[in-house]
Amino acid sequence: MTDQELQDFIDVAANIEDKYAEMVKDLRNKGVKVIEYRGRPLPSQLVALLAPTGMKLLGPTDDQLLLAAAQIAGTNQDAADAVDAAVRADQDLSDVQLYRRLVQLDKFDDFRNPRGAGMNCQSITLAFGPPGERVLLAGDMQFTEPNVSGADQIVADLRSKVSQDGPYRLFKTTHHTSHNGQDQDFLKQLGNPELIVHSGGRNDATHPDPGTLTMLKRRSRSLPTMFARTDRNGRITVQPHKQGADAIDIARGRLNNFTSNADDQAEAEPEERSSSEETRSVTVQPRGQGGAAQVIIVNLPDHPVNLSVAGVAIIARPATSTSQAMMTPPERRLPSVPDTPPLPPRPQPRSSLSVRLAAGRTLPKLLFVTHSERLAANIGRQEAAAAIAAINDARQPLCDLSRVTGDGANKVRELLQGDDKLVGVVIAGGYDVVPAPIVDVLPPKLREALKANADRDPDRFIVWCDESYGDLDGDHVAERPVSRIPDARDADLFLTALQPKDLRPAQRFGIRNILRPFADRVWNSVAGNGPLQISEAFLSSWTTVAQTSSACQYFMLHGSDADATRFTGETEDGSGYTQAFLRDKVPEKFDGVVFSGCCWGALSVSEKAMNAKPLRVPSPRVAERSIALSYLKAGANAFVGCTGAHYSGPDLDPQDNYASALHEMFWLQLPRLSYSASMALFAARRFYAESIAADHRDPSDIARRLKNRAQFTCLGLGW
Amino acid sequence: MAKNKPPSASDAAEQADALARAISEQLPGWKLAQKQSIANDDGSRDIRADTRGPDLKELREKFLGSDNERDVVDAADEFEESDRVSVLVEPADGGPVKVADIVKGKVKLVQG
Repeated sequence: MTDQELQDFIDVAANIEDKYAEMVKDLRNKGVKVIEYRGRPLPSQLVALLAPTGMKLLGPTDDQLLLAAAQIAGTNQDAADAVDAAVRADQDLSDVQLYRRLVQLDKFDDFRNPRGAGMNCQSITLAFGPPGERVLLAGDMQFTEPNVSGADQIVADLRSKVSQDGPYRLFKTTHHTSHNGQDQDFLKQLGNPELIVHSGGRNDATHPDPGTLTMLKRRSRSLPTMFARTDRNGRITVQPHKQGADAIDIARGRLNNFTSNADDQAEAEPEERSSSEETRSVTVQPRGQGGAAQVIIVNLPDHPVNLSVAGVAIIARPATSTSQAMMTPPERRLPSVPDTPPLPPRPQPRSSLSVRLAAGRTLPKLLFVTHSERLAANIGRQEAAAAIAAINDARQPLCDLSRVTGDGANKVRELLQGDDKLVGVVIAGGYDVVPAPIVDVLPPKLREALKANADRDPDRFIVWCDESYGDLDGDHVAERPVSRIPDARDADLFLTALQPKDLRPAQRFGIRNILRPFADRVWNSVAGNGPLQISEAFLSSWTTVAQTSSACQYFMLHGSDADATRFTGETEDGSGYTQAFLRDKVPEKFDGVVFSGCCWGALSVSEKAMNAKPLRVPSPRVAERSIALSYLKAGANAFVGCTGAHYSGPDLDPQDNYASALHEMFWLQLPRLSYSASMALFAARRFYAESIAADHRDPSDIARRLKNRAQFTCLGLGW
Repeated sequence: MAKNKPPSASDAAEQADALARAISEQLPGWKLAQKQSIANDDGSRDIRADTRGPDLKELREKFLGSDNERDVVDAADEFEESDRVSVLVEPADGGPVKVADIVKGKVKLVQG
């Protein structure tokens, strides 16, 4: 560590306690009830709230906390004495010199690290989840070698308590997989968990402990084991209620990598992080039970951040505003009466807001649809009012569902039918503002004919689809294009997305998977120059600002329902996925259009449609967790993509390829329709639907095309 | 066309072996997924939808002007003639499952 690095470390360390206190104070100021754990039972109200999750706080006891605290206090006194002595000897010592001198003292060279052990043994030990899916999270608890004076028996008791509350399917190793956190006996006591996750950074030669890694490796030969580690696999998502490979998802590398940081630096993979807060984080998703609370454990970065974790949005908002938004779910059928009480004022209202719809350019006559109260709950009253004023100022009709009695979709249809100059619909707000219908794309006879294949689709052929807002005659096919501007509970994003500039195609940028050569033909229809990049040869890290500033962008890559921050490619040898495009490559400013043939590329909520719970609001994603939303926040004219898993294939012939005709028609129509992405998508879908109607195909083929037709959506004000 | 007899256990095992072999040969780095069906998060297979998409009849009426085409979903024999076998595959080293088709012995990833 250089002197500067050490000075930075000291500066951070010196303020960490103050920052922690500040964070707690800030939470309390925002209305969050913070409970400090001091070894006593949790309040019964909280226990009752968490009961459906199966959560139990197992320890440490107050005795253990006190013993650990006493040990820490002892080391504090040792350190204070040593500092005093050193400064008396040399008053000119800098912080860095003083630190270096202290850590060389024999008294601080105790391999048992009594100070660290004291802190580690204060770790809160939590278990949760239903039987068969239980999860143990115990921070840095030194279960096998406590090294806290007088605490051996207490920690042994804690081990027994932990064991009795098992068996566990998932265990996050404690103390960065140190030898003092776990051993083979302890894993046996836990019921030999199948899913084991390590949290730690790469620049740490001693964690995970090489001996513990060897033990885990040996153990994996005889016991089913999926071992993931943040230093090799990046972000890790664990879903203990799922089986097989579905239970654990990693950003990179391979599972069951037992190599040591100490001796394999040479083979270490390059860092590919989409954001710094992704590292050292574990997401656990216990299976929801109705409206049960979920337990979310994340390591937060040291700066404010909006997160969407395990399907729950964590947004920096006044508690009353957020909780209200989360607790008043819109009905699936659009609401008949205003049902949202007045909102409290936001703490920091904007002094002035000037919003010009579509940056002042002339739009065709569109019907804007929103629910003003819900929008205000998401982005702020003043911001919502400014957005609505901008729509009114542009003399565009607005259907405010908060003032509609009866079925909202019917009202929209009625308005469209009454004015043939309305060329389309713009939904202003996310799914929690104006509900997105959940559509079963398979007619009953087709689902029956597909038999087991209906359940081999990752969405079971159920997708989010706004088409019905443009369906005038009730035949399930829209007569008017529909686009949606999701708010993502982010006023900046929403107001920016209301004001996109005209699309002026000059350059193009695109990436396709190596196994998707049909995209080359599509590329011929994309305005601009420059080659279509091919992954795996092309990696996200190679992306240039010039490329991502191109007005026309096309991605034909893999996407994920669980992680919308990356599109992946494939390795040439088929050995896995590559990071083809990461969210952090989205430019800060962008005034173009993106068309994505990536699975779930335009999914703006955390839930797949098939998993949406009745009467529960889907969890909006925030821009930081979505490539699509990041483009909108940057000012994109439109982001076109899928709300579900996309079908295409390696074939070049559009008769055999599920996607090529639709993709190609979009880009062909875009210049013909004055670069309106909404209109171009509408035209492409109609063309694609005609081909489905006209050609004879087998059931799987029909089903996949019906799904592609339904799930493509236009996000933004691309008109 | 005669209706197929239900396959025997040994037939099914042979077919699974053949599929696994075809995948390992033609999609190196991939294998047949352990689970061959997708369930809802809560383990159920309920269909929870607000509405449905158009069927072929509606598409034909809208775009072809009449429903004079034969509705393939009514023609059971056409399904049996399909050579397509759809399976879920996953990277051998772990990762999300994908849909793959095997048509006339040729394996192709169709999802994504």
